[in-house]
Amino acid sequence: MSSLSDSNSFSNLSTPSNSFPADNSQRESFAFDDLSNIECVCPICDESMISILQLNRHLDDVHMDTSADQRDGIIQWIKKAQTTILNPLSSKTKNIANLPQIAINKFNDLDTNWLDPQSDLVTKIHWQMEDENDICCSNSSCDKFINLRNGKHNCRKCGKLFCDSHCRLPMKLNKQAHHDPIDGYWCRVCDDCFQSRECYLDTEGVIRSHTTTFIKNRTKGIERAHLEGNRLEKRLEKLAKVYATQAKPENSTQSGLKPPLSMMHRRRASEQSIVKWEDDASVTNCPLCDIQFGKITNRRHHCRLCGRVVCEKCSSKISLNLNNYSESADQDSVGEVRACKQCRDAVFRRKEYNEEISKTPPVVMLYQKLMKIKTAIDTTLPKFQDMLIMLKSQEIVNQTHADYQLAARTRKELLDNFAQFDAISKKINSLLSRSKSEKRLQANIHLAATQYLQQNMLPLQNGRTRSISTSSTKSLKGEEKIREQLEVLLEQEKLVQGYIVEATKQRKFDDVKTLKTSLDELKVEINKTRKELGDLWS
Amino acid sequence: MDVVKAVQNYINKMVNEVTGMKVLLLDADTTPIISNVMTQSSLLSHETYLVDRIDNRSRDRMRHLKCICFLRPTSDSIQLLVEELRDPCYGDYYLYFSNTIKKSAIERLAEVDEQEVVRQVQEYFADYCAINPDFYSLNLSLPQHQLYGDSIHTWDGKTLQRVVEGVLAVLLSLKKKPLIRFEKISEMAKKLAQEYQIQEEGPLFDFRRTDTPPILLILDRRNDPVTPLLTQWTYQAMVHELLGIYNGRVDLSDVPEIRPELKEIVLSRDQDPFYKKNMYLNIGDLGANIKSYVEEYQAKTKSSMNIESISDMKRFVEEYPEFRKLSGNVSKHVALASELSRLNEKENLLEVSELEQSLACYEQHSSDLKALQKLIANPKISEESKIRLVLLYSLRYEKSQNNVITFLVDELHKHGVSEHKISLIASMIQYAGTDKRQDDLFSNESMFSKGKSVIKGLKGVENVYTQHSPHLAQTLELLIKGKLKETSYPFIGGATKDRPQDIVVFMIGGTTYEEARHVAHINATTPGVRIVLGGTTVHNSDSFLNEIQDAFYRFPTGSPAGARPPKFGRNRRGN
Repeated sequence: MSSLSDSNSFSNLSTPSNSFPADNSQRESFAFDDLSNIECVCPICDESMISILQLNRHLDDVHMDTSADQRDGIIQWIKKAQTTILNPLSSKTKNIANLPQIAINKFNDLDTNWLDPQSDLVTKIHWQMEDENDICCSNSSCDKFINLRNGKHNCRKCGKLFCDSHCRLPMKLNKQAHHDPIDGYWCRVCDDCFQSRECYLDTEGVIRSHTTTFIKNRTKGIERAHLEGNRLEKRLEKLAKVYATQAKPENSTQSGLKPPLSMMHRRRASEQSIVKWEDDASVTNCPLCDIQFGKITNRRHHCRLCGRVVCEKCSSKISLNLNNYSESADQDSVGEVRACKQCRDAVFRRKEYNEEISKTPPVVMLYQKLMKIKTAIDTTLPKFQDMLIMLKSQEIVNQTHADYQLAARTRKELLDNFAQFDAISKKINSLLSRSKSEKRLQANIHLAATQYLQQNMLPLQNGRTRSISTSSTKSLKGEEKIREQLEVLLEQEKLVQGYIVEATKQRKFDDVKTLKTSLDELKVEINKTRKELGDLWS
Repeated sequence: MDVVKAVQNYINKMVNEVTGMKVLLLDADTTPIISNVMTQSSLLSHETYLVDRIDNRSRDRMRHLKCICFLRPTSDSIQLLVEELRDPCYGDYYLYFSNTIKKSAIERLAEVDEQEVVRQVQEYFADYCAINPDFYSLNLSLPQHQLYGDSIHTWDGKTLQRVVEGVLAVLLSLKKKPLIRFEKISEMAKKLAQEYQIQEEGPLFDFRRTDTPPILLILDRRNDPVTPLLTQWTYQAMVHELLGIYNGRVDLSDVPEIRPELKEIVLSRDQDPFYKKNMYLNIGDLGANIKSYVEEYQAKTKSSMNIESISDMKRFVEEYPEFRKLSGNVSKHVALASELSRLNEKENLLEVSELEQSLACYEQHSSDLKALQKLIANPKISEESKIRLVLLYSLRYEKSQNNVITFLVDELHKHGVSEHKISLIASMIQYAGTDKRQDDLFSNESMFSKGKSVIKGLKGVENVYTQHSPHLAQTLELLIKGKLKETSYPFIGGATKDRPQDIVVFMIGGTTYEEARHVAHINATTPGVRIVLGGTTVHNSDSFLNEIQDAFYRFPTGSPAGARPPKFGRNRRGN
């Protein structure tokens, strides 16, 4: 650090050549040195130039075809310059501080060859006229007078008068001095007119929506899927009926035992009447997972809904209900059948999804409440701030004044809302969560709520101390006031304690020390207030 | 013409459009796009409580959340999205794609959305990383993205497609339909210009006419291989050169005795006014500013120490969050600056940089050669620095009759620089030697340009370490004045004689922070002109040389056969 901080010892290397006195006194904002002010003189014709760049161009344009001996002259001159210039550069300098910045030549202001010759055709009726008095440049940030030295230009669009540097931007105008990018002539305009062109400061990018195409495509597919789903559901109902009629008598006598073989055959026959079973021999691999079937290891199973042969892994048993839409699936189950994954999904997924959507977890309910309070705060808060400004401007300090009381009521309402807001957000944070993501969600809602409070509640308390409590310092020592003060103090104590824990965690012991002092002082103040309150009671 | 605002605008629109508890689902490409311009707290304030990756398959089901998907429409992301929609985790889905999505992809997604959870499908063209308001990057760096195809002069097909889409997105997000100009000698620039022109057609690009058409200027890094080789001395550029800035983050975990909370720091213009103020300043001025920043902090600590009344205390408590932020920021910048100065000392960068600048800016063979030999022999100078110096020497004196490149290569061998690093010298000449460049980069190819280069020196150079001005600055200056020659930077599909007002630059092979700083300077000092710069990536010397090394390794000829060379770069571990 120390090597970086001593900054002014760097020797100022100015160019030693007499014809190039460097003037770097002018500093532009943005921390770049403005090097455009170096005066230059052409070594051949002694014409003075505004910038090195111009000199460069001048050498190219005017002296390109100079004869050989003259060119030798240039080389001589260059060589001389080189020796003088390079000496100081090679001198070692260990200090890198106070380094000036790159020198991109500033683009020449006087260069106006972009102007259209026809720009004179643009109307001048609206031009601001010079009168006797001194006029300032119309640019709000400029206080130069309009005169010959600073320049005198009418913006061709708005007609106001500007100095040289604030009226030099090119824009196409038509003869009525309106912006016309197609048939206009290049004219000189001011910064405001230049920037207020339509879309010039637009920051919104292109957006393209495919929602309608998507929905169109989806509707087609959905209909098919619905049909398929309905068909499978029908089959499931039929299966349930078969099981219900055939299983009942057996179940009543021999529960727990397998149904006899004859019964199995009968049932199988009726299952196959609902959907045709695929022939075992025609399928060697499971169509879903592509694993080969074996005689013992990976046995073939038939899906009762689509009839395909699938392996055990890709199928599962689903329970049968007489009423497919009943909520409690397990209670009136009449049996189980095997179904492949695809059929299972087609039948149940929609149902499951709708069920899940219809259940609102507690966090949603609390969150809705939270947002309701937030909207309430967002609408009252600006109103309250207006009131404060109004009270202040009219210097209303009388507590019985209607406006004052209204403000106090609003404030109370706001503080209540904030307290409620805080309480709900804490409740959300402490909710039992079923998963990690849920935990994270709750914690983040709490975090966002805390941020919101920090942004909106703290300034409010501040505002209160300034406008409302100043009026009532000693005169009204009502119990209410003291109680309120105590409340605020306690709240701050909690806040500071939180900060201390956080700062200790981050090992910022300096901060901890400062915080601890303020905490101690807070405690003293709290005790004092408590005592005061006690005195009042006694 | 503010790329940061453009991207922020898109994202704010996404999270504002939908009310209620939201989760934001991203993919590998869109995560850096978001993290470059948004903070967690700004997302939180828009009810976006969770951010997750679509390739995370173990997400919990939360049907009561609304889901905002912001994805790059790659086949991978579409596949993941298909799986997601088949078994949706969340209640409603709002799909935003960062580029044009194929019709077939829409059909596929529509087919699997049997639950009817998708509410919206839109294209928001935030398909690039916005670093500064006038600086963007496509983040196409090794090892995920190869720039070169089967030679150092041709595109890798996949990368070309990505680049075309990226440039398209930049222009759509800025609402510009440009005229295209490209560097004539570069095959890659020409190819990109043609591909871009083909895809630019269509109703998307139907914008209001402007006074003068915007210009898309396509450049190739090989026209200026010097800039990424130089040691940088301004804050943002130096941090990237010595430590690396990746998506606004700097990894400081290798710094000795670093505090745990500073192991990874964030450099954000939006969140950190000190950084915004100082990012373009050189390290000397920066040191002074950090000092006063620390003093300001100390003053604040003191003032908070003497709390005399309850109102002081209240004020303190209210200011504390602000105060805490300040203290974190102070320690961050102090740690960063002291690490920069430590590396600087360790690698003798002042000495190296002085010679670098001299090689880059002046034709003085004998004295520079002497200095170069001395540095090669100096064991304190890192191998990387030696290589960079010899590279600069060979680029400048490649065509000079009395150059001693082979001698220098022998010298490098003699001082134990490894073979794969030395092979970079031959590779560099193949990549960007005089024959591959179209402009007179060193101003040493004709008598008159030699004269100019001396006159350039007359401008009163006060800083030995920042004399160099990138070639890009000169190119842009000519372009702004309407003097950029059509013979070397031809138009494609239409031309204009007018001076341009809005310019979008794309540099194939990567840009540098030095160039970004120059563009910011031009923007600040040239009223009426707005320039946005970007490229395939943002290089420092390590990543630049790595890319070349990697390319030559893959070509059958031109590089020593054998195992893949180790990554080029500083060994920063330990002391």
